[in-house]
Amino acid sequence: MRFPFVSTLFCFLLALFSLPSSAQFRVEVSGVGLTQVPITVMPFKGQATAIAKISEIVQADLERSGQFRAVAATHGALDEVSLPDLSVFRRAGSDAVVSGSVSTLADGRVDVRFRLWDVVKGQDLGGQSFAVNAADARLAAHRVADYVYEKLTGDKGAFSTRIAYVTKSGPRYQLWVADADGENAQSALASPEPIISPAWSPDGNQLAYVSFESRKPVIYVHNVSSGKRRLIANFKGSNSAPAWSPDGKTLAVTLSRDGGSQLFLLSATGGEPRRLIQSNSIDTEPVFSPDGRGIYFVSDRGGSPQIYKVGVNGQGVERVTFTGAYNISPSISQDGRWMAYISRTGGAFRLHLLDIDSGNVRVLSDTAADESPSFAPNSKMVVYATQSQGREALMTTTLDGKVKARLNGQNGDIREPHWGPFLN
Amino acid sequence: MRFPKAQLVFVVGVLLATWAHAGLFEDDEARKAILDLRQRVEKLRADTDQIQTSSKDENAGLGRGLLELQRQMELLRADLASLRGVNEKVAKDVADLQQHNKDEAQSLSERLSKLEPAKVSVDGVEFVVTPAEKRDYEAALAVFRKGDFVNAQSQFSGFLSRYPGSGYALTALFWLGNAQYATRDYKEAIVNFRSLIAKNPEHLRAPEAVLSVANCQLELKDSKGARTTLTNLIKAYPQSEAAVAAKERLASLK
Repeated sequence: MRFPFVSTLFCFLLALFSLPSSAQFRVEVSGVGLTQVPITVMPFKGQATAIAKISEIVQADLERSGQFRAVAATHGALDEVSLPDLSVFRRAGSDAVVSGSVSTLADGRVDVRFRLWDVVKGQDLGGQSFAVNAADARLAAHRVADYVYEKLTGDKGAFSTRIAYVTKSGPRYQLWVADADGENAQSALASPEPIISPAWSPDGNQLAYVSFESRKPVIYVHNVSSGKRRLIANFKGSNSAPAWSPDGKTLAVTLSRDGGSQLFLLSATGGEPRRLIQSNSIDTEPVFSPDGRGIYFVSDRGGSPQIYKVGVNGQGVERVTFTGAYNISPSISQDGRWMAYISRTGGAFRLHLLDIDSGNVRVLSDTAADESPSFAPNSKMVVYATQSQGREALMTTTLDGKVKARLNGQNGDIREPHWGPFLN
Repeated sequence: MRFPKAQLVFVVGVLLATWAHAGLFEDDEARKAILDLRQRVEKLRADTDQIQTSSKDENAGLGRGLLELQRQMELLRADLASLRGVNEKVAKDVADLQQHNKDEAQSLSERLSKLEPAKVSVDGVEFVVTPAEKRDYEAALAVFRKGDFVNAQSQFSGFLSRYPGSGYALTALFWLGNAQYATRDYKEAIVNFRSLIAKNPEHLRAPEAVLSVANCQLELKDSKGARTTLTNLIKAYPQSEAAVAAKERLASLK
């Protein structure tokens, strides 16, 4: 194939998947961070009989962030109203303790309560309670983790957000919406033909994606809660790579309707596309900068695929990547500081991170087939697809690459992750 | 309908006569015309074949030419793309180099300024000093300002022997004299004040130096000498502040 960066897109489509899919994941944390807060998450009172082991979810969330190190609980029951003997935790090397309880209310809802203690200062850092539907018990756990993360790091936690991804098992493709730890997945769409490039709208209510169900790539926008969807781009040739503007009103897309893959802007309600730039090269994979003023994209105009940036008015194309002969799939962090992307180095496709201001680049992975990086909405982590032990899997990594967690598909191959926005 | 027999015979006879007449007069001409036409058709066919063959050849040539053009365009396009890529890289390298150069130049000039002679202005005189000279002078002055007059003397003496031609020299002499006055070494103070006056009577500090000499003389109970010095001061520097002080001092001496 003439343009290899197109072929990587399609090798996914051609790849053979042998295992049935499942929505269940397991988190494996590996690697060592440098400044991690040692924390003890006590088993929540009542969680043995509850739907979800809240403390385990909280602990896994915190560990995955790379900012925390779990210290095993030294003694038994504690809930959000107990006054813990902090010296015990201090001796165990813990800087913070989370304790809480889970109970089922008469109406069937689950009541999750917790309290956070600063062991070093001997301070009560507050707590919350969530009464949620039983199905949302895991969400409540993620909210606990968000609270702890924000209190102890000062940054907003992104554990209660969602990710979208695609699985394939046999001839069946499925688009899923899952918790940020990959679990609790709900199927949004099933199709015998490939589904690729899911992209969350900024309000977290809609997913744009490319479906091959009509035997050619066309773009849909799908309302996640209602399940209703509408055809957005079905022009002659291929319709691919949708990306939302920060205000949710516009989609940047790649169309080949006038010959060659070129970038267009399209109203999120459909209609006639406006050409963004005209080139005689392949331009694709657009993403908006968080300020909405620029669009990053991939082009082979310089003889090899590189990432460029252009003003949203189509003016002022400038090249962004200069190290390596093959750079694709940009994702920009919400704070505008970082760009995650895939670079081919020595035949391996690896996740890289560019400090946009300084131009410094670091490699975040040591795997060989990384794809589709996407930032957490708090700009602190990246989710990406990779191959591990011959299987397609999703990984999250911290920005220093030191702490990675595998969102482990038990029974399937998972690709095309996209991390959703904060939900209110 | 029935024809009578005689009528039929007549009709046949007429028809035969007509045919015989045509055969007799036009057969050869027709044959010739046909042959002629046949020949022309053959010629036309040959011509057409020839034209077809040659246009086929031409078309094939054109097609090859077009293919070749297309191939060359593809090559040019690829060349252009790789040149654009090289250009992008070179532009980036140049920008990086410019930035690097600027940074280097800045840090170099920062480092050099610590070594390079610099222009200073002291007591109304502009001159050039080395960084070491400036540092030593300022250190001595700082000791003087602290009121450590013993150390100030040794610092200024040291300075004057290290940098005898320094632009700071006269000013250093002035402060040395003052330090000596402060430690009651009036004789040495007088020597240094006079040395300053002798080297440059127009120096900004000269009137003050003369006044200081008089002060030293008074301390040494040489009121006659002091009176002479004060009188000379008023004469030599009538506009100076020191002259005003000298007048008061003279009046109190009388």
